[in-house]
Amino acid sequence: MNLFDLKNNPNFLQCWRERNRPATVGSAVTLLIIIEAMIFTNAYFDDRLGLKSAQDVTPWFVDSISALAILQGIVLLFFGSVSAYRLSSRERTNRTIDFHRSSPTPRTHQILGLVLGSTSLEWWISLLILTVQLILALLNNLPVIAILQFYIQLALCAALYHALFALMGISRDPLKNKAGALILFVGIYFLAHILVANKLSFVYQCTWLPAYEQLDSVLKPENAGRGWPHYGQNNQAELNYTLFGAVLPALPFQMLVQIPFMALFLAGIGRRFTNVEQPVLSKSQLLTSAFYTFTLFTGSYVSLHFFSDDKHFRPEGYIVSLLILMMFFAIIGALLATPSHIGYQRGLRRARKLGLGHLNWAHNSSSNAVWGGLFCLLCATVLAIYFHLFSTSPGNAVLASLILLGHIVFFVSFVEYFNLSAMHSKKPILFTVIVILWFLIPLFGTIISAGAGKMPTALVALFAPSPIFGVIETFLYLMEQKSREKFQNQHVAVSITLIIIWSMAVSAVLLATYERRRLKSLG
Amino acid sequence: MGTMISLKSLRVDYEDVNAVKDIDLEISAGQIYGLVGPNGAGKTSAIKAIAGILEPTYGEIKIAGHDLELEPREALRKLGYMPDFPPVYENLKVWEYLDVFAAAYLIPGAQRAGKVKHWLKKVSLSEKHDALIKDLSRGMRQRLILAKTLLPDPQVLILDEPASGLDPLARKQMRDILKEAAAEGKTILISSHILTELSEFCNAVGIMEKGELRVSGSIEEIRVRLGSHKRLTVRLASPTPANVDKVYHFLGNSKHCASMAKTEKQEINCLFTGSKEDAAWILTQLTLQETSIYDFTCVEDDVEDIFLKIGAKEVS
Ligand SMILES: Nc1ncnc2c1ncn2[C@@H]1O[C@H](COP(=O)(O)OP(=O)(O)O)[C@@H](O)[C@H]1O
Ligand SMILES: [Mg+2]
Repeated sequence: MNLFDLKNNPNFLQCWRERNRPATVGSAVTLLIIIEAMIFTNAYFDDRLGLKSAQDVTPWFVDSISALAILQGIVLLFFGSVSAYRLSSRERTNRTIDFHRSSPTPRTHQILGLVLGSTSLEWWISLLILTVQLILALLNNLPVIAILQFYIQLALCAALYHALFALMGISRDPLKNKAGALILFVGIYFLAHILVANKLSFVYQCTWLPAYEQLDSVLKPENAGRGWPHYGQNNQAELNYTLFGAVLPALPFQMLVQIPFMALFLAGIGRRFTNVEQPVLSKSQLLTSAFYTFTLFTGSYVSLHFFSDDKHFRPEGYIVSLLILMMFFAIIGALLATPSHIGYQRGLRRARKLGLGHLNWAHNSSSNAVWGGLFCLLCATVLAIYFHLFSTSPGNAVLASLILLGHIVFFVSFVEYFNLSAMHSKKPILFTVIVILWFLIPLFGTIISAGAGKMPTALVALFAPSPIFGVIETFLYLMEQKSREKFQNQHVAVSITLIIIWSMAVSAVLLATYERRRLKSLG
Repeated sequence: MGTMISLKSLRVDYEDVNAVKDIDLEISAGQIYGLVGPNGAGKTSAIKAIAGILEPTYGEIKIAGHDLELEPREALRKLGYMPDFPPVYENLKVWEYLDVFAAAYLIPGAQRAGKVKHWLKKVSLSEKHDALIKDLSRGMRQRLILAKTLLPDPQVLILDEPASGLDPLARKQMRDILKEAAAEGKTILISSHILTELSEFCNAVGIMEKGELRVSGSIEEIRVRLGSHKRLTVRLASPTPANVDKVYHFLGNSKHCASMAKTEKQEINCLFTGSKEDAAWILTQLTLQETSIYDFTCVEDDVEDIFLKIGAKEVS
């Protein structure tokens, strides 16, 4: 059976039939014709009736192609993602996923069928729009290749979005509360803001912006090389295509960024088909994706650092994004890689039955200790590159790493301690403890020290447990920037910070070890 | 063909519940195996593990010789699974639904339409061929799932409480379909908390309780193992006290009769441990004594009685 034999793909057949009933198809085509007619008449009469400004010389067919491109984006990116989410989450509410799980269709076919099938209506509508664009281009001697390349770039980005939304849909457990999905969503939302607000090339290449930039530069040659949105004088437009200082062609760079993430999301969908209870990503997938993201980040950052010709631009601030990204991976990773109470017990029983001392570290039921260690090693290695880049002194490099790694060790071990302890079924406790340590106590510190010039040194104890403070401190030490001496005695403040973070981390490690021993002895 | 379903120390755990406790089970080709037990016994959990839907804590599951963990595709291809709850796509038409799952079992496109028609007819849903599933009743959905399960012609059928939600006619129809499947040599594992619907066509049973398989084997074996007896009932045409006492004492003195009882209707009941010949001899003797016997019945316990008996043992 061929992977692309969609006529015999059960998941594709199901979604396709449901989404392409004559009534739906009829109204979609009618709506499309109306919208296209509106676009054409609008663009055409703008030209004829001289409604445009004098500088605007773009002919009506170019305006139409651009407008159709935006319509394509809305159809594929927005409606496609919504459909992917809706039809995947229904596999869970209907429990039909059970039937697919117990059928002999290969996993890859099921994943492909679900993602392509649920968005099939959007795909063929976008192909219809493409046809109209191509006809317009042919009739007016515009480069057909550019329009095809736009479509391929947009389609790649749409496929990435569809994979992500299908994964979120199929991860939604209809029986459990939706808090988990909500937290993840809010996390992704904030992460997206932190990343999108910067000029790193790999973030640009994660989006649909390159597709539109490419089309724009061909249809309106006066915009060529100005990037999208238009960056003005400096070389940012070029830097958007630069990784480790090398300028890459548009499509390969986009593929380099988007395909691995798409593959990761599709693998996550596959894990949902295999076993709903296991985490969306395995321990090794979490490590690999963190490694890949940090590599892309570094490639983008290095390019900005050395090649930006904008005199007023200080890329150093982006290092904060990297540190936040590390904390983000640590938090998401800990939540996914840490076995649940029952998961850990299952692992113990299984290992005992198989006559093993313990399962492989990467097993879903294994302790997260090795995973946490490897993740810290990864972060330390990445930080070392930046210590080198900023010529951080060895002492400050050690301080910077100790602060960040302390927070990571604490969170990873604390989650494991919590999951294995008697409190494991009361998730709100974990949530509350973290909110108090990370947000409420530092907030209290901020309030009582407001307005004071230099804070009493002891007050650092209120800030130390929070990784928000930790990230800032790590950043300052990494940058050798000791000017910001907020506390009366900076040296004592650092010592207190380190003592607090690492006693939290060590206690969490000990507690987690204790709980592991306890469960092991229970049998 | 030998063993079609083989479980070795299968264990399933949920948070705070050990739903299936190290079960060993072998079901050979052509057997109809009834898995019985009260609600919460762990039947569904065991069946889900066999169907590859639930990852067991540990244990080896083999279907037609293929290990479910090592060769899932080969194992699942042999298996038809019918859950206790009908999972359907509400917005598909009946034929489309069957066609989707025919494709899932790798049946080529050209053969699917014919098979769909054939099975819709078998479960009496032919006139619903083009209806949307959301317009079907619970029982119709159950029949649709039965058709879905049998359509790929699996060698092993696992059915979790298939009769729930069916009306008596549909139950009979399902029994006939399953009997036919068994006659074709398919192996069937069927679970239920009510035995009447199974007892007449299961040739082996397993009784589950609190996650353990208490007893398992052919009905004959279980009967022997539980020291199960035949039950003898004697009714008299004109049950005068003298007559009844006469029969009562005669039976009481026989070494094959135990647990003598007289009912309000003056019937005499007892457990009978002897052979058919022993029963015939007793009947002859009683007839000779002119006791006006009009009914002399010697029945074996059916599965239901065995089930009740085990239940009673657990309670006591
Ligand atoms: N998803 C679940 N989570 C937690 N416990 C469960 C779950 N499913 C079943 N159980 C428990 O496992 C035991 C066995 O249930 P089940 O296999 O459904 O029994 P049966 O099918 O024989 O009625 C019951 O005590 C039930 O409460
Ligand atoms: Mg059940």
